[in-house]
Amino acid sequence: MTGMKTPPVTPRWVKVFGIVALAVTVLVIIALLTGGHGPGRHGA
Amino acid sequence: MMPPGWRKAALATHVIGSVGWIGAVAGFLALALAGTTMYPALELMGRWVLVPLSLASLVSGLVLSLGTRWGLMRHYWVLSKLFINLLATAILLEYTQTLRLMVLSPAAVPVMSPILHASAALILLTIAVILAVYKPRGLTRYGWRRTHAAKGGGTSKGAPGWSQP
Repeated sequence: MTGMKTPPVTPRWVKVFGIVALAVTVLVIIALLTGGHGPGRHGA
Repeated sequence: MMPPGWRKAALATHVIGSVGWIGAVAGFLALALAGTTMYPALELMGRWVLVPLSLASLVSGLVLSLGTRWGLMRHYWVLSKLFINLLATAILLEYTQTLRLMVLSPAAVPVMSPILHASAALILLTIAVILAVYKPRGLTRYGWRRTHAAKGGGTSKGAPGWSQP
C-alpha cells in the first residue's frame, strides 16, 4: 500500500455498511413522511 | 491537536457517554418489556438519562476526532460511528415526544413501540462500539490525500498513538 499513486479501494465492510445505512435512512424518512410513524401518529 | 490532558478528558467523556448510553438503553428496554405501567419511568429515563448521554457521546466524539490526528473524515470507521451517533441521537430526540405522549395517553402508543426502538438502538450502539474497538482499516479519499501529502507520497498504515472508543 505504501507509495500508492491512486486512492485505496473502498473496503468491502464500508460498502456493506453504506448500503445498510442508506436503506435504514430511506426507511426512516419514508416512515416519517408517510405519517405512519412518529409522535401522535402511533396507532393511527 | 489537543493537549494530552484535554484529550484524555474528552476520551473519558466519550467512553462514559457511549457505554453509559448502551447501558441505559438496556435498562430502558427492560422497563419497556415490563409494560405500560412503566411509561412514566421511560419518559424520565429518556429525558434525563438517554438524551444527556447521547449528546455527551456525540459532542465528545466530535471533539476527539477533530482534535486529534484521527480526524472526522479520514477513516471510514470514524465516519461510520458519526453516522450511527447522529442517526441514533436524531431518532431519540424525536422519540422524546412519543415518550411524553406515552405518559399522557398510554393507549395511543403501541406496546411494542418502545421495545422496538430500544432494540434498534441497542443494535446500532453495539455496532458503534465494535467499530471503535476493532477500528477496521479503510482510509477515505480525503484521508488518503491528507496522509499522502503529509508523508510526501507514502501512506500510513499506523494509527495515531491513542485509542478512541
